[in-house]
Amino acid sequence: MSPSAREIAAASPEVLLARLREERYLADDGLATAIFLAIRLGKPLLLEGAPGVGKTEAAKVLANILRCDLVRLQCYEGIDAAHALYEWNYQRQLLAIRQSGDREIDIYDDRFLIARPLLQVLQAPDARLLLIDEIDRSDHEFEALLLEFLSDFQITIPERGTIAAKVRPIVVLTSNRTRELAEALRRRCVYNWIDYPDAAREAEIIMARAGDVAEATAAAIAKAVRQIRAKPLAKPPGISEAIEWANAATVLEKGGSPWPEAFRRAIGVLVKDEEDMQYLLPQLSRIVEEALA
Amino acid sequence: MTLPVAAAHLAGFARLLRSTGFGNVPEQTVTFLDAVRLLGPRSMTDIREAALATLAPQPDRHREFEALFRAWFWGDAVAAADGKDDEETQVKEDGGGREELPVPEESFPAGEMASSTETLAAGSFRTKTLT
Repeated sequence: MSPSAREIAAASPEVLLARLREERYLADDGLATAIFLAIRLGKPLLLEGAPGVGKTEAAKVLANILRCDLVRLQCYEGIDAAHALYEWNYQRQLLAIRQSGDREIDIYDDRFLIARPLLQVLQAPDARLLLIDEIDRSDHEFEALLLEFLSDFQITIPERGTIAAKVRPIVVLTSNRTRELAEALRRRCVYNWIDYPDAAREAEIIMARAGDVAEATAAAIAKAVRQIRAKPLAKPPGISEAIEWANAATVLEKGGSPWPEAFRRAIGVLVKDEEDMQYLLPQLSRIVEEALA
Repeated sequence: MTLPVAAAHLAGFARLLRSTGFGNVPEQTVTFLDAVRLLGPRSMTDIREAALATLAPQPDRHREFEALFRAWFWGDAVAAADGKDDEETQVKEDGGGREELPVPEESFPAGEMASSTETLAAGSFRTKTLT
């Protein structure tokens, strides 16, 4: 039997690092090691970090590498089992009962079961990767429900019995750390804290991800963004905003704006909070000029 | 049954974190040993990354974690003292007492303090010199 995509990718942390790079995701060694361990130990991977550091993107890229479909469960306050596990299609069940007349029908047949992300992944654990995004937005009850799922990778449907995964699915959880997660959940996962990259790696990411951006522009953007993130902003810019800034400034420069001016005019794609913008504008020229120096 | 010296030293580090209030549990120690075995280990970096991934120290305590790691594996008492002084990373005084630092590997009897879970789970761990 030929080795699976999972076995090939998780041959070593170095192989994973190289595969991530091929997908234009420039991870550090710690993240590659954590992904490697999560796959090899059969445990969920918990990625924590500030918004915009590339947590969700890591899961998307991993799904590509493992040739899996990404099943995303976006968490929010009030999310419950019906949104995460499964639901019965009551209207369809009622219609089927009406149409059946005197015939007996099984209203708990597959036809009436609406599989939500957790069940979808259990049904094809080697072909789907589960992303539980922004788990810190959900409440403690939902965390407890997840804990059960992540322990045994099975779901019990009272009318149908227990559905267990044939192989352990790859599960990635992300959190912006707006609140502490339950210790029990953290302990069950392989953990990685994703920090903002240093200026050199961010410049490399910009070069890899942006369209037609010069190396000097990427380096200047990375330096300036690092300065901007150090300010007390409500919404510090993420990596994707830095890439957008590089693209927008390049377009403006090609349209005739000279360099420092192009950065300043494109700032709207980097800073999207009005108060942050008002705070930053008086300092922007100095930050940009220092970055270009 | 006792742990090989190398595994006992790794398990000792997990216990040290627990005694300083990091909240890791024996189940994570087992995962830590598995992770180190999976990574080789080829260097101290492997052990450090395995510890970060499996013992999951809170991000705001990373400095303290690094200091304890250096103290435990390199006997760097100065680093440990630095970590202790970090105002955001106060060591809990009521968590069952802090283990003495540093503890030379030779003076740590294999498996002496390992819990039964750790001892059982690390049965297949290869004896290896870590330094």
